[in-house]
Amino acid sequence: MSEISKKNDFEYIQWGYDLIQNAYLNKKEELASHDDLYKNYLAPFSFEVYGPTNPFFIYNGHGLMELKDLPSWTLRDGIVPLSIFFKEVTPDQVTSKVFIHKDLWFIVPENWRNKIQFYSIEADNIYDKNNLPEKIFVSGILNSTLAEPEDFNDSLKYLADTLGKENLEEIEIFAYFPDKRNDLWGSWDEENVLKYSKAIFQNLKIDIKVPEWRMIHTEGDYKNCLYHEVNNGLFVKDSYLNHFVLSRGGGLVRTAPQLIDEHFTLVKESRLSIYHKICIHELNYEGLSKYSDPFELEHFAYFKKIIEAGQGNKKLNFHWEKWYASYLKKFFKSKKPNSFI
Amino acid sequence: MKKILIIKSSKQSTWGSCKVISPNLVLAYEQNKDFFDIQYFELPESFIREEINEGASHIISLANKIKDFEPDSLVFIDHLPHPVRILNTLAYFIVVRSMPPLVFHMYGDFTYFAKDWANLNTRFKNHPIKFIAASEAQKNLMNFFLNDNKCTEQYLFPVNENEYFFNPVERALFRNQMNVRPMEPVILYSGRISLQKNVDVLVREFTHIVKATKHDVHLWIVGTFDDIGATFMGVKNHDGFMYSKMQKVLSGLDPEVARLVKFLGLQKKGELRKIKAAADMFMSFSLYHDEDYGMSPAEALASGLPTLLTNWGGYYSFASGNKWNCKLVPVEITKYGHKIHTKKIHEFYTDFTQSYINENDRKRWSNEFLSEFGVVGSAHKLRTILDKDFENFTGFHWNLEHFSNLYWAVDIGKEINIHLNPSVDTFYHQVYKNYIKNLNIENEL
Repeated sequence: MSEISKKNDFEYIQWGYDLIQNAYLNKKEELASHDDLYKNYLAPFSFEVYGPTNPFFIYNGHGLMELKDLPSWTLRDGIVPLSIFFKEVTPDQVTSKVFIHKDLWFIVPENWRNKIQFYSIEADNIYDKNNLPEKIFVSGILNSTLAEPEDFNDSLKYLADTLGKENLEEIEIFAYFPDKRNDLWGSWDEENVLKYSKAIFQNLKIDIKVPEWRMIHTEGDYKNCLYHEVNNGLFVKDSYLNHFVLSRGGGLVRTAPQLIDEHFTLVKESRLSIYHKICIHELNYEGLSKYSDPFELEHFAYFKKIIEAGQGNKKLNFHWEKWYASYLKKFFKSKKPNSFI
Repeated sequence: MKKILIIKSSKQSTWGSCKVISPNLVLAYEQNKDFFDIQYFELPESFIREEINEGASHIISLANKIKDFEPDSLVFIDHLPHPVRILNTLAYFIVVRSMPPLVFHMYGDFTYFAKDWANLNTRFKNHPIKFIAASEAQKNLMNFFLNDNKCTEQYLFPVNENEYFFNPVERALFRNQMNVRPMEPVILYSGRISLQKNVDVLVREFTHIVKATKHDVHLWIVGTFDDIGATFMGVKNHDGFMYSKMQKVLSGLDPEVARLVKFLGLQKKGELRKIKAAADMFMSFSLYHDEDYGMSPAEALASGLPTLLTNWGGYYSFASGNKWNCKLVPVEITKYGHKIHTKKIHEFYTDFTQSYINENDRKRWSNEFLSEFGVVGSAHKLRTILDKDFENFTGFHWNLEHFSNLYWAVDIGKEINIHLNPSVDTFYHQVYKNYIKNLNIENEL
């Protein structure tokens, strides 16, 4: 062995620099703390995560954050905030690369198509009937914020079918549904709660544990655990809990191939943990249907003007947002992605 | 025969090392059952909420248990539910002067829960108490916060001899599985990959070792990434940060070096024993503010591994004596942060390459370590502590309250806590100089 040569015989440890590395997310959290939507209501799904492609929520509940300083941004938002982004920001205002979730390809307007690439979060561990997990961790919200009761039921049914309902009795299942009383729009439908409960126990099994958040969040071992989040991606598409579980060894259920998959080309992939990665794709729009603009509605512009005038000409204000989001939610529900192909 | 009532959590802690420590402590107490009449009482972590919301009566049951059993001491072996919260609730049902003497096994989160511990002053001054620290450093740190040091004892958390030992067959099989040739040394780190554990320093130092070695040297890193950061000084990490940080360090390396670094993720005990048998040396350069003990290095030493650790916290308790192979890397708290004297790392590695360590050495070191720190081997030390007379608790010093206020004063993620930023100029130094063994650095180097 030759002699080890080094510049210094010591190393200084200064963790303060790591605070700077996390600064943009800390700043984002600070801004979001003025708003209940992302900071509280959509928590823990909306908690910040760090990654090589700069994951970020463009919408902080009151308005759009600016995309600047970094060469790329991964927008973790769902359909509603991203539609607002595409409506309110023009492509020439953004110099960075922008990635949105692959499932949301259909909300990109024509003028944005050259600027946008798509990401998917992929787990190394994929479970199905041939590869069963030891545990299943189910999460979501028991109101229509993340999924309507019918969608909620469909999602759990898919999970049960893919793993085999007969196999679930042998698998430990635990669930975390954060306590959110009203749904995002302030309504409280008692009947829906019954539908959600029924969907969980009927599709999975009766013996389901419901641990506290602290127990879930301090657990470091999710190996051999399947994470299933019932989330249609209206607000948060790239969820914190998904990253949290996958980075601790968890996996996902096998998904059925989609027709749109043939149009995507994998451009790059980066590891996010030992157990999961982010893949960046390009989309070939040839053969896909024309973008359907949710704002091309009669009197839409006039309505917006009335709201703006009434609120001191602010571009986005609370009431406007609420109506906007509610409207978009209905629009995209009526036009499911497959209808665009 | 003295009676001992052990109060423990009804559920296993979610904290990795506590999952091991607590059951091992119970085993150590069980070793002494010929000398003490031991009974247990289990409490759920959320006992207070359960009492309020569900009308549970855990504390009344505990009070009744104490009245019926009449123990000579109450022993708290878990970090949660917090012992002081239990005692303050229990005080509604048993007057403090009627309570038996108290024994607390102290964990690294003593500083995190400083406010709770400071509360012990309110009711339990002049009560007979023993604080059993998990290392010499933890004892020094506790003494810094106590009005006097009569109540502190030291008992290192034991390692289970049935779980960690050196097995040459497992070594051969695992090395084969990992395609490591006999002459290729394997450096191991196991534990959380967290900011204050400085695994990035290990990776950087590893590159210098590789460059100076003719054949391949491997670095195996076992454990989960965590992004707890250094919240006491205001540094907040977001989930995924540590992984990205390590990837950045690796991407800056020569690809030929980077391919020798393997992340093996979280492993179960049995698998971890095989990995520890297969490795040739263990290194950890942790400067964690709660590093009161070091279960992972203890398990490495129980596997007979030559081990290099920072002269920090509980780590330096393992380097006492020459019966096994454990060396220390000198560290200092300077004006500009911690300083690790990395030269020692290379000396340690060079020593390793120049000495022929065989299976018999590994077995001998493993046996020697376990005879002192194993569940069975250390049981008599625990007995000695339990047999000793109690001293009356004269209270925590006012600086514990001050420390807890500083700990929680910072706006985490927005600013650096100027009082607890590691530097000789801050209160951090006053507290954590107790975590450093007085080594003559000039001589050591």
